[in-house]
Amino acid sequence: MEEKLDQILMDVLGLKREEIRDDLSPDRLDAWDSMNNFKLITMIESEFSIEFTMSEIEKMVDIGCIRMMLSEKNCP
Amino acid sequence: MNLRKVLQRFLIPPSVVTLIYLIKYGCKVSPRAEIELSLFLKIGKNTEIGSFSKIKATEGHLNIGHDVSIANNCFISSESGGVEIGDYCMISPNVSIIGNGYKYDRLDIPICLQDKVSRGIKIETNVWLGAGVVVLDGAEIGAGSIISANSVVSGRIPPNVIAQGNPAKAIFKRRQ
Repeated sequence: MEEKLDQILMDVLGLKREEIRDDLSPDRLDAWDSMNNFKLITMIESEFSIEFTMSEIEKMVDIGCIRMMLSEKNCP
Repeated sequence: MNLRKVLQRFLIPPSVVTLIYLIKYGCKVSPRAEIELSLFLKIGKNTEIGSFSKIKATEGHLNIGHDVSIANNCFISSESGGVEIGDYCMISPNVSIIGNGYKYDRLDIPICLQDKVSRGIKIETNVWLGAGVVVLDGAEIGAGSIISANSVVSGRIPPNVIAQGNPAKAIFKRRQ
């Protein structure tokens, strides 16, 4: 799961692997705007074959929250 | 330009056009907008059209639904294929909806002298077009979709999505 998520973050937000940290959030990263947030969610859903509700999406305020959400959904 | 067009354009004051559309359709057209008086043009009740917007419906039907909001400086033109804009749509400033293109298969004739092509444009209900969006001939936008600012729509956008880019593509499915 970690590897797949890191790859999505690198593809969508243009991050390097060493820049990925759990406390990275839209406030700290210019590339993480509302449109890229939508792309990120869509790619995660497609990669892990899941679907988030709007309230779940609202809780994803940083990368750590996304990881936690994926673990809760038992994503491989 | 035929005589009827000249009379309409130069002799009918914009405030009269505003009044005609208010009485005929119950819609609010800014006196600073340029709306053609055309039998092809139908506008629904409570629709608002902002200043400096231009709407042409010379050669094809242009149906605008009710409760549609068209902001300032928009350009909408319909040709033979027609343009449909559904109810409750929001059209932000500087949006262009262009209902025709040109054939360009002859190299020996200027493009402007080749035939016009018009397949029509369909924008379903409750669509939000962001500022500067361009909708080209042949485009279809499904109900409830949102097109982000400065995108160019030339194909089919499914219902209830957020789309972005040139050409615009769905990047997110709207949900509860």
